Amino acid sequence: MRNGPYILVFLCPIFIGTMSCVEPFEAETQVFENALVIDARLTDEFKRHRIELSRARPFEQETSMAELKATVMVIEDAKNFYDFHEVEQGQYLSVKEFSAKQNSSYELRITTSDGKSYNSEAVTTPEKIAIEDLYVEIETNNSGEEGVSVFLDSRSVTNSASYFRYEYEETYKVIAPYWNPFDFDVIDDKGVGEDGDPFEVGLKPKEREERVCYNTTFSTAINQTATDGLEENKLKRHSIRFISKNNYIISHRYSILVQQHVQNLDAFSYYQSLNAFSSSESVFFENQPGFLLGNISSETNPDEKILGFFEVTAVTSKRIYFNYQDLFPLEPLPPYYINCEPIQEPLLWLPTADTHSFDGTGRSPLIEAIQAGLIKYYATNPDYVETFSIDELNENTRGPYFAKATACGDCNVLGSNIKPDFWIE
Amino acid sequence: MRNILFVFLLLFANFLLAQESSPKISLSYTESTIKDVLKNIEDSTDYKFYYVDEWLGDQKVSGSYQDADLTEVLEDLFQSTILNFYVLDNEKVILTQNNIIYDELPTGFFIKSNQEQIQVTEERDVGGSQNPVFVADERLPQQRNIQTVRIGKETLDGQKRRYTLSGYVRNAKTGNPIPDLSLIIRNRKIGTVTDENGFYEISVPLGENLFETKALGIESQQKRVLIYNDGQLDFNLNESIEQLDEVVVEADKTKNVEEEITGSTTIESEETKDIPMVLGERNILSVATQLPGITNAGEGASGINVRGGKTDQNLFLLDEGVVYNPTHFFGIFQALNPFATKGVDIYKGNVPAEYGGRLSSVFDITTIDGNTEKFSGEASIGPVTGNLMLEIPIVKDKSSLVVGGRGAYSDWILRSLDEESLSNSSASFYDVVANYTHKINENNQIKATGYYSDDSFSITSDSLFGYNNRMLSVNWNHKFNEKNSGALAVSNSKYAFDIGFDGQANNDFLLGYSVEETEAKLKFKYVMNDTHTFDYGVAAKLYNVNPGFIRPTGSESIISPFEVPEDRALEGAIYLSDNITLGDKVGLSAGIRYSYYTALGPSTQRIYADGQPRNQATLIGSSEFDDNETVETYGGPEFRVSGRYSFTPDFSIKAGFNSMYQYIHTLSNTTTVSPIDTWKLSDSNIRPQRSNQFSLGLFKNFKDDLYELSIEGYYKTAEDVLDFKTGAQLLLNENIEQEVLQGEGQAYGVEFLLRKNSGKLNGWLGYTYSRSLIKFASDFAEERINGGEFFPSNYDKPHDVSLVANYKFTTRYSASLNFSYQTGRPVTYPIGQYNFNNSEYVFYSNRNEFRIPDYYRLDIGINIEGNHRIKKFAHSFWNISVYNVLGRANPYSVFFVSEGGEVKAFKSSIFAIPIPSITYNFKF
Repeated sequence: MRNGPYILVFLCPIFIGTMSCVEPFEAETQVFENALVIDARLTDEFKRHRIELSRARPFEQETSMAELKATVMVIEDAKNFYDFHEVEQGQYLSVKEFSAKQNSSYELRITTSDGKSYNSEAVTTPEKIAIEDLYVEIETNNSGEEGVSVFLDSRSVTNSASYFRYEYEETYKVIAPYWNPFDFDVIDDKGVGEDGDPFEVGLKPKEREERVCYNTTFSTAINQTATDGLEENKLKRHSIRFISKNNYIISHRYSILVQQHVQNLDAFSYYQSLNAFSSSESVFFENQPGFLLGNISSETNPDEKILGFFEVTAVTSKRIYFNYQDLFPLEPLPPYYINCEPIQEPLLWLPTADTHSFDGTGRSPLIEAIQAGLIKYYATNPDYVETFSIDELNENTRGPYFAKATACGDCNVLGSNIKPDFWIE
Repeated sequence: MRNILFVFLLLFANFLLAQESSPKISLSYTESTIKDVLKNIEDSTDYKFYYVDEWLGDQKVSGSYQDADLTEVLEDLFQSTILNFYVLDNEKVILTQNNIIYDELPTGFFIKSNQEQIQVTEERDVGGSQNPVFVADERLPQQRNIQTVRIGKETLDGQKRRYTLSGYVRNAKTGNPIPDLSLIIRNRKIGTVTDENGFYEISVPLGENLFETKALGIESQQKRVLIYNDGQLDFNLNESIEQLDEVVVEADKTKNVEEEITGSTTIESEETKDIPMVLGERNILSVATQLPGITNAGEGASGINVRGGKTDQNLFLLDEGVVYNPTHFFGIFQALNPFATKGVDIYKGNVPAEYGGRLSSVFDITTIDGNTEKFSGEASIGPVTGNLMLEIPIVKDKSSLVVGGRGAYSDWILRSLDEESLSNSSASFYDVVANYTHKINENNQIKATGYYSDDSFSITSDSLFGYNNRMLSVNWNHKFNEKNSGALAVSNSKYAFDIGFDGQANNDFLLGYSVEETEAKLKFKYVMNDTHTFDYGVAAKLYNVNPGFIRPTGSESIISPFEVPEDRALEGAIYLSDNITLGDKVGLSAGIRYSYYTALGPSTQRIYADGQPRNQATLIGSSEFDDNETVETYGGPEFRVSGRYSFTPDFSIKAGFNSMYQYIHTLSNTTTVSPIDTWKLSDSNIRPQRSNQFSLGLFKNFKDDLYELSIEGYYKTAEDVLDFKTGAQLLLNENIEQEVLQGEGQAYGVEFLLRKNSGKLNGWLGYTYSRSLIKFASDFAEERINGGEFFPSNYDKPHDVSLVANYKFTTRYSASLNFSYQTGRPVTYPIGQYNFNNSEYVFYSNRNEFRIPDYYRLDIGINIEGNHRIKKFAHSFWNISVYNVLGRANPYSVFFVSEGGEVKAFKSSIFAIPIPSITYNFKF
């Protein structure tokens, strides 16, 4: 089987453009069929491997139910057994660390708590292929957007065709643009009516790192390629990721770790079909979808539909870093995750709405916003005049502090303030 | 008005008796108009004249009178005109054109009611026999636009029964006399013929005469001629080009009822011009889908489904040559030049034995025969395409060339759209057609046709798709004698597509596919007697399929060139059919066709283990075949039998049985047809498709064939129809049989059609109830679909209503309306979602268990014909239409996308808003 490296993607209209349209809608479940989902992947990495069991769900349900208390094991060459234990709900981790060995075959066996057993076909570990190069280039994509493309080159020494699936993990530095060394300090969050003292908010030095954070996300899309149909068993400029120049994640320093999984043809075809059924389609022709048969079947009921695949891959990975300023020198940074221009000035207290009297039961918008985690200290209001009298309260009354949305002053909203171990400046 | 006045006067005729002595007039005038003279008389006397200015004309008169009677003056004055006068009450003078005002009733007026009166009348002999010319406006509505001509002046004395009318008949354009033209006076049942100089003379009765001219190639003209006296009448007549068409229409009037075969329809291209279509593009194939039994999967779905059959089961023939994809732009436009296309005969029930090779239908499309008389043409300008067709006489009356070209200038529309994702998209298409007809002699005629259509579109900046059709055919019709005739048709067709990829990496390529076929067909007709008419013949066809190739493009590319080896096959057929007429009541058409198919080497055929699903694991070997070696043969008899019984001349019942073989199949893993679907020949692993159809119908014409009503039912079974495993890779797949499933098909339905072909309001109303089911059963799960049970096909739309109506306000203005309603087509809808590999996905179970919402659409159009002035260079035609007036966003498909780890549901519609368009056509 040969696959051209082209994908048909056009979401809206071509030529009759505005006349035809694609619009999103809220899917409703017509008939629901419960099915076991097996997300099982072994690699040639020496580690505790993870297998996840869950149940399919109707559209209306937000999260999937985990499949609990199953017996999970992987059998190597029909003789070595690796047991998996449930460490979290539906998450099964191999008891021992092991790696999928070259030329060995592996079989997955699962017995669910209701006594049904499932077997996978025996899967052989493919040959490992190194990533030759991973690099970025400034590029304009098909939609005319300028940005950074991450490309990969790879070369196999074998003669047979190779099938690849890529995953990546990206980590980027986030710097809060309106970071301030001081934080609000709510001294008295009760009004006069409650404790006899008025509301009081002061300042204190920040207690944790809130300026520089790091965030890590994982790829979600299926990215595949193959060398069949190629003259040489090598890949050049295979696109891993495109990031728009206006995406805040590359504002400072960005790192991507690309994992190259060498797949078997069966696994490759399965993922390819899965991807075809879940990608944007042409308005005019649509792939005929249907149930995608994986490599796991039920011993008890051969007609039972099982979702997922037992995949064994040989993996290599490579990490690169880049700085925005190195790629786009002298250019302004991409816009921050949220708009940080608006300055907020919440009032320290409000009179009770119905009586307009200062009986102390009124609210404090400032303290409420601080406690809800909505704002961060930005500056002190020089025009603020302290008043506790209802008579003096008027339109010109100011809040004691200027504030910004939390994400503008605290990077922890968008990441973690703990620098990852691998991170190199 | 004049006639009413006349009648009014007539009623009082008895009171308007003879004139008393009148005043004398003295006057003289030279070179004055009659009007001035009358004015002069009015000024100098008490007389008052009543007349219409126009009657008097610009004629100059001279005269001199001394104490003359008014009568004398006026008689002289009106001598050279066709005016008569009547003097009322000695002061009022009423002028009349042609007519005389009688001051008494004619002889015999009250013959039955009052004998006495007659006596009185007879005594008053005013002299001469009086035969007044009465003309009442009792013309039928369609006669109202007939010109009325008045000849001569009525005289009171010397009236004759017959007068002599003479004149010349000339060709309006050339001015040449028209000899041998029949002049018929319909209401008198008399007539004459023009001599070689176009001169005629005929003795005609007094009064109203309805003249009609008739000659071959000359437009028939009618004139209402009121004869008052001898006179001359010349005719200037136009040549008529469409006279033959009119004859055809007449002959087909009862075809609905009388034809033996069921399920056949004819659509004339010209007829479809009034029907509103997307962006004003005339589309005979879309019009066909408005007829019962013919549907498509939706707007933007190329391919037509006939009576529950797959899209690859239709044979599109253009002048006997196959056209694989007769559509442009995903099926939205037809790839046929509407001006060069005469029409299409569609066979969806009983297919004549001469055709074969597709299970569901035959679309027999013919191009026009060019004008051998004079250079003429037709052109149109619409929002999408420009079209020009020329008819060029080569040898007068013998041969002619037709050349048509049509192209889309759509790229500008695309570019003008303010849609970022489209900035790199483009789409364009064109088609050209040419034919040459040559009438060698009475018995031999040759027609050669060439056709080419091309589409190209690109969606992303790095890929370009293109597909094209090519067809060449030569037809030689020969008449051996009165009873025997024959025809030889030789054709060659090719369909090809390619995808060019020009990215930024090292994998630029060109991928392509092509299918080519060459056919020779010899057919004969033998009219033995009134009872038997035989059609027989033989056909052979050679297929060459290039199932796919990929080539690197650019020096950088490391794509390795690859080609799936060529497939070749020979398809032959021999047929015989007899049309038997047994009296007026019974007609029978019995045909048999034996088709034979051979897959030819060189070829490698893979062998799979018996009783195992076909996949890489069960592949146990292969066998090699040399050049032209027989790889596999298939074949069998196909029966085409149908009969008619007429209860009355306009009411019949028909029944038929039809069986077919199909040796070439499309491979498609999309829900609707895509231009990159490939055609695959049957081989040792893929069997031909077969079908049987039973049909029964009642046909009735009403009101002198003004209305046609039919109800037809059918039941159809098919074997070895193709489908594919979920997620099949079809392009460049050497082992395609591992992806192919062959199963059963079942379709049945009832079609109702009410049609009105003429009159101010014409059109049709159709309703179809039909089902189309398929079944793929196997012992192995991977080769089963929906558990091996029957399930609805992608185009199973049980209820289908179409209304096409055209209303002619006048000969120039008409409005048309087009309405369709269909049950929503089946779709495969996910039955849940799940998490896998860090993302959400939906999962599908059984195919086609749900339906998208029902489809309905209303289109309206206004058609304005330019006026028919003879001298005008061209005859123009404006078409203003709005497609999808209701602006309904008919869902076309529903799909689910995993984006950013989440499932998103989308629905698409092709024409979601009303689409107005204006098209200008002209003929010259």
